Amino acid sequence: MEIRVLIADQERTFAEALAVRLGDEEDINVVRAVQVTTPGAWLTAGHPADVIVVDGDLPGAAADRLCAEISGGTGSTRVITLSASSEPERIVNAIRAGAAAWVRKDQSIEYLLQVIRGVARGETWLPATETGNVMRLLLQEQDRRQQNGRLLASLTPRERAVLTCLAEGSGRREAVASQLHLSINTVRTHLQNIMAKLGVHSALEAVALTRAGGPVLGEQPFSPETQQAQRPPCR
Amino acid sequence: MRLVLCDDNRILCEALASVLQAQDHRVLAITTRASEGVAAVSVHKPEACLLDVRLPDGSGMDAARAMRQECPDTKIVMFSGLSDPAVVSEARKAGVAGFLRKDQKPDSIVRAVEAVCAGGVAFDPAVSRAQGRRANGEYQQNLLGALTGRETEVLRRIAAGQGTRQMAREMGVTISTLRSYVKSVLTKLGAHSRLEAAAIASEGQHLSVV
Repeated sequence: MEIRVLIADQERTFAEALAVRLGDEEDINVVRAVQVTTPGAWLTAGHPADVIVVDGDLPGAAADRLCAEISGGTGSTRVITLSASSEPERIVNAIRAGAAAWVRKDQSIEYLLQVIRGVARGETWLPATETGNVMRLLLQEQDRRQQNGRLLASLTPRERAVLTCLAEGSGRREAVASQLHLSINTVRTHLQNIMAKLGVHSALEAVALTRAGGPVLGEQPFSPETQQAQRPPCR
Repeated sequence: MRLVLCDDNRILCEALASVLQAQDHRVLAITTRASEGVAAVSVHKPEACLLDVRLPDGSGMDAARAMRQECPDTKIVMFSGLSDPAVVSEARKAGVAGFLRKDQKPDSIVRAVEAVCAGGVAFDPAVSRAQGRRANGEYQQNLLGALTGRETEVLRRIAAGQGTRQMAREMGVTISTLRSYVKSVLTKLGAHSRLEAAAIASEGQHLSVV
């Protein structure tokens, strides 16, 4: 079974030399090798590929955007990110965007070939030395998300409404008060209770907690009777 | 050619090695660190070393200097994604024979390294242009410094607008000898035509006798 490979890199020499080398393999057909700084799914137009090998060190996380675009599509194309680095945070971002593999550029071509064949079979390949760190990061993030979820669940519907307003950008207490038809003092009290329950020291931190890993407030389990009455419009 | 490659992108090195080997050149070592590159050059004494500007354990520039020291016969061609004129200028001072950008076709890289092994210099046109914009003309001076006395005379005559026959007659050489002088002038200057060579000569303000 022939594997169709597309190579997209910011360095033309790299893209084309790699294309020549991969072309020596009987089971690999390089359909396109292109120098590009903002790759997108358009690269595959007229050049259908099973595997895309993309430069992970493009400016502006362009490789992650390509992964998201490709994995959000209907095709079965899979993406291998090549990078000079193997920071676990970057690998996690790539996985989240839908990358099938992360390969360091200081690996050998033999290794890259293994990854290309593996990915074409549906496997996921990460640098073995970083797999532990990547999993730990993902688990920590999941824990934080759950913990934040528990904290947010301890808020009363009214407190949640105040926090929602703040999260949606009603920075000033007066604005929150007028939107929720409360007095400024009441808003202040709610906010103090919110901060105490969440264990934070400012409204900003409280809002950050709803964003950093925490589920969106709107997705909180409201009881049916409070949902209508207590979730005020906030714009 | 017998070559050593040094770039932290091993995949690039191996891919280029396969392009080079397909054209009957020999890659003696692939290295991904500056220290390994210097060691490989001093062991293998290659004709040329293709050397990345940035390496994980130090600058390619320092490696180039060390290689010049260890093995002065090895021609060094720097290889970079960028072409900052200051870096190119520093590389020239370090005594490298070429500076190529990684936006070239692999075959162009091979041709450029071949030119260097043949005694020429290989500075990527984009690199040279960036360099040419530097007002001091240091670049042209260095290029012109690589010419022999006879070649300098040929260049002076080209710049003066003389034709092949006239040059051969006045210099007392055969036409084919004269042509080979012209060819090596063009190679050393990285010029594609006599006109371009003349332009480089005048930019370098080298030819007071013109």
